[in-house]
Amino acid sequence: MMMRTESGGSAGSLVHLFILTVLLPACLWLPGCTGEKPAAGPAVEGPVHGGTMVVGWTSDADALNPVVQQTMLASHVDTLIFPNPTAEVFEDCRLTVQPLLAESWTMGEDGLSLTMKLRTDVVWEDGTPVTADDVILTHQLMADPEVASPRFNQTERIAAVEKVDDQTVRYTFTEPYDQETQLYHASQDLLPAHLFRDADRPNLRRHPLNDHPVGAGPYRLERWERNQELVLSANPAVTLTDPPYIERVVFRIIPEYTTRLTELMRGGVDMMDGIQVEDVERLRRENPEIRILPCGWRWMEYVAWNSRDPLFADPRVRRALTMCIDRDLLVQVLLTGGGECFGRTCVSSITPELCGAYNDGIEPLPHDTRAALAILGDLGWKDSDGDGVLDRDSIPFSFTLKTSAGNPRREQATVMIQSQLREAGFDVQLEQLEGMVLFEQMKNKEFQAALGGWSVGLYVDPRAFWHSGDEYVFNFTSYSNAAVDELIARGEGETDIEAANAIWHEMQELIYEDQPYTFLFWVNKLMAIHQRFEGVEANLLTPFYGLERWWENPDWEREQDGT
Amino acid sequence: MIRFILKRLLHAVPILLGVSILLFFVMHLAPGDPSYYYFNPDSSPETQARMAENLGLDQPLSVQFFRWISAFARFDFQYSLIHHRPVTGLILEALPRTLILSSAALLLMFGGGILLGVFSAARRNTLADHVVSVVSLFFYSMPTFWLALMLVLLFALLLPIMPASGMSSPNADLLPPLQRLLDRLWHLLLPALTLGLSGAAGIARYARGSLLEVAGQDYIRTARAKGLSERQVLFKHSLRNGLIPVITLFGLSLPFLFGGSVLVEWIFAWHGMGWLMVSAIGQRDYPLVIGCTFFYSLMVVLGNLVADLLYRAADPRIRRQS
Amino acid sequence: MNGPFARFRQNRLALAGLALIIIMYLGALMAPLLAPYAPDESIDLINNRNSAPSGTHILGTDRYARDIFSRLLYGARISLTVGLAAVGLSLVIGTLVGLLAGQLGGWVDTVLMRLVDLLISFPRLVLLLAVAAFFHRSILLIMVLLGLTGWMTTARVIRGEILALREREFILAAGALGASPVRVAFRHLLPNCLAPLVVTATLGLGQAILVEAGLSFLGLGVPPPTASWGAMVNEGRHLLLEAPWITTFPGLAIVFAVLCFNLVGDALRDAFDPRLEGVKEG
Repeated sequence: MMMRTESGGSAGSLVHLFILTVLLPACLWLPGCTGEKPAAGPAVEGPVHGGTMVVGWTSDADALNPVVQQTMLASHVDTLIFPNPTAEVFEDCRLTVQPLLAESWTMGEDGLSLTMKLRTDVVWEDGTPVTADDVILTHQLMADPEVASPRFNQTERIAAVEKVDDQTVRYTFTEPYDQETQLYHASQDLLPAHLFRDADRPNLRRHPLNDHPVGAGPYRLERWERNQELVLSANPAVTLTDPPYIERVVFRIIPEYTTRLTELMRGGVDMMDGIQVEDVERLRRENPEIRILPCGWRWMEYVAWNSRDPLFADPRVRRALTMCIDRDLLVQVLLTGGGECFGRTCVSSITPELCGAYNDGIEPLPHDTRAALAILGDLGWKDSDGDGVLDRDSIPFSFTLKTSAGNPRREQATVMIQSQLREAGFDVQLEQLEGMVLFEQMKNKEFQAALGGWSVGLYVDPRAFWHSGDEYVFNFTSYSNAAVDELIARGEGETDIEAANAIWHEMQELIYEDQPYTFLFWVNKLMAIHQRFEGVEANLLTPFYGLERWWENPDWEREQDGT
Repeated sequence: MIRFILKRLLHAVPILLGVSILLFFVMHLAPGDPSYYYFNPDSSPETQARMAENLGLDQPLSVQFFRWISAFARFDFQYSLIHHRPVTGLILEALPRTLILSSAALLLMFGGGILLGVFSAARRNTLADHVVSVVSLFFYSMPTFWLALMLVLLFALLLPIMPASGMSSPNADLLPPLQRLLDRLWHLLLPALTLGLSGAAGIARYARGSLLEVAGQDYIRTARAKGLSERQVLFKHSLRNGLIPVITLFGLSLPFLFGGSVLVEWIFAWHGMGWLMVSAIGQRDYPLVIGCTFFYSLMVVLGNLVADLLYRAADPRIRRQS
Repeated sequence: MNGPFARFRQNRLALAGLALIIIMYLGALMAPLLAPYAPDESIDLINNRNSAPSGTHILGTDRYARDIFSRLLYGARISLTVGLAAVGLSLVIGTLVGLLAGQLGGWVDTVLMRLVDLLISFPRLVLLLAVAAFFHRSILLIMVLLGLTGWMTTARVIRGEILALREREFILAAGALGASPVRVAFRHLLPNCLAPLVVTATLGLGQAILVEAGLSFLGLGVPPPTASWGAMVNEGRHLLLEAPWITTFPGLAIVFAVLCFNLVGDALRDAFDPRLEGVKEG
């Protein structure tokens, strides 16, 4: 399960419409101007090779090395450059893998081993064939404590990786696992062993080839200007996948969301991820040539109530707080744009995309301030001194709601929640912290209430978030329910999917009953791409899903004129 | 002369060192460190710890400080924690961009400022002078970042003739060199204008004052008594002497220029040192932040030195003194 | 001969500036009475976001449907008090350093003045950025940081005045009569430095407002949802074309506040005629 602070479009619009007509000779640098208008002829019917796609991205990659990289961009680029035994797919509510470099695999009877047969026709850019050695060395680097790979944990369930022959590897696992788990752990972008065998391991993060990767995937690195542009071009010799149609993919690093959006609107960027709902209407109105694609429900937002704080120790109080927050209004105001709603009710941390595990039977608590106040009144919380704030034993119900700064949607959500809770009689102060500081405070339980968000994983793994064990730092609210702990343990051990899903359903019900968090809403992630790119599939795994199948329609403009 | 330069550089050592040490401790004592930046519940605490160790972040502060200062003494700014590349290399990539922007701004600032100052002084106490004074005070009082936004609003949005951000147009790398240069200059115009305008206002005010002061002095009165016209007096006598003090402003304006360039670079996505520094701050990239600050200080120190040398060259009185 | 105050009074622009400053402080003080809405109150979030200036919202509303005029008034409290406190701190530090350097002379003077020279040549915003980003953001922090980085001009001015004053008869007389150096400093020297102090403080206030705005603009100033003019400008950046009023008005407020302080400061300087100058920073 990945958690990242959502790159909020902190602010800052430098909207720019860029029409060069006045001071400099027109047609200076508009590529379409160089006289290469597509000749008249029949419209393109199927995919063609060529073209450039410019992607607007938040922050630069760190190292183009799958063993040590830690950035989103590097992980996307690595997948395009380096070969991987398998490819992830999300289908029928499930995350599975398909063969890629591996042409087949067999699982040992005991569940302790996996033998993988690699294809013979895949070569590195320098002509060296991709073999079992590459799989083994990559595993060794990742498992080497000296390297300190962030993916070290992925190697922990693997006891050994052995070479059977040049094109066959055998994984031995520490315990019996089902094939899905085995494949998940065997799935890794590979480094070329012949170039990394003698690498200085403690300094692998600074290896010169991290700037000049040698891969075997559909794309290869053409140019990389740090903090500015990372340019990939199609690998002409690729055999791992079909050769990609789009010739060049340019990642332009534009940290500010609004600048990125402006570039998208004026054509400086063809594709970007994470379009904010409030911009949908404007984009649709002003830029009909841009397609907005919802990618699915992976992002949820919540208010965490620290159960170590006496104010929030009682689940009944937390339920009352939830009932005072008008979650539907939040969705209506924050997540509705262009007449369309990109938010939905949230009742647990399991995404509705995992349709089997997700419990859609949970009835959300109603927004009913009066009923909430009745519950609180029974618990002794009343406004006895008439100052508009609930109190009990002359202690006012007063707390600070923290959130990370720089994310307009969250800022707005906190402001709305503050006013709703104030109306109900809670004295709420707001505090905005820099994202990392807030994270550290939540980890150390130094907060009362905090508004945050999770990007949830595509397999059910509730332990880190809901188990009461002390080692689970992501259990921000110190949530502790023995029944839930027990369900987690049972669910993890359950191999039958139906039975496991029943367990997860029950767990979600118990958690919702306790309201350690007020689950606010799910957000449908939006990406935008110019209409002239075809074959684009929105997918919740990655914004670049099946990139090698996308293609640029060179006649798009003409076709538009014709209609 | 060389002794003077050496002495000045030597004097700058404590401040450069002091500022860097101060920053080192401020950053290391403040909450949040870069290993949180990519915190991932998939990695166990041990993996996290190992990563911190690999980046040298696990050591006690004293050890980290000792490591850092001994590298620092060799002008080794170590590796960026985010980019995993030498800080010096990253800065040297960005530095020319900041220098280009600053030089362009400096040119506009002193060119425009001196012209306005002379204009004002020549028409002392006329309506034109008052208008120039008030307008330049207005620009002088304006936050650089707001001026930047207003220029963007005017010239990139309402009247869309200029790029609002970035250093080049998309696909500019495919253009022939001359067009690429023009493209770069085109993108330079608004940021440089922003810095130049707000700086010019200060220079104009100062130049006017300085010229008028000189105008009150004896030899100017003598010149006037000889029957030279006001204009002749101004251009033959006042100008040279009245503008010498403006040179000192060159040194004094560097802090403004570099401070302002941080904001302007951020707004216009001009990938110079200010931009590098603001993004490094967000990522807790200590070595890079310290490196940027150090280079900023160094540039100011060197700029001041140049200003002093210019001043000595321009004013014979000072030359004789030393 | 005209006294300094008479000279100041003749400067109509400066008088207007002074009046505006007073009005701004009064406005900030009486914000709860004058503001039609609470500063962080969203008025009809669904229909009233980014509304243009109108009868109900004379300066329009922002993306949270908050009344910009009300926020400007409350923002004045932040921007103007942060400036005031920061300059107050600068004055105290600057005066002490100036006094020490001027009175003690010798190596103390050399060291202190060298420090001033170097600090003054340092880009204040760069230093503030580097430091402010790593601390928990609060009004107090910003005040202290601005104060700690803004005292150098004051120190220079005080030292200069003291060096000039020391040779004057009444100071020499006080010393000869057995007054301790501390007593001389506080009883005789400081009161005579008042004029230049007032000038530096006034000009410093303008600078402090600018720098605070710059920090807030980068999101490193006073934390939201508190209205601060710099942060308000930043909030509107996103909507520069659609809702220019969000950016324009707080920016104008900054310009006019700084302009007024500069006008008054300039006029005071002309009136007292000490040799002061400063280069702006933000």
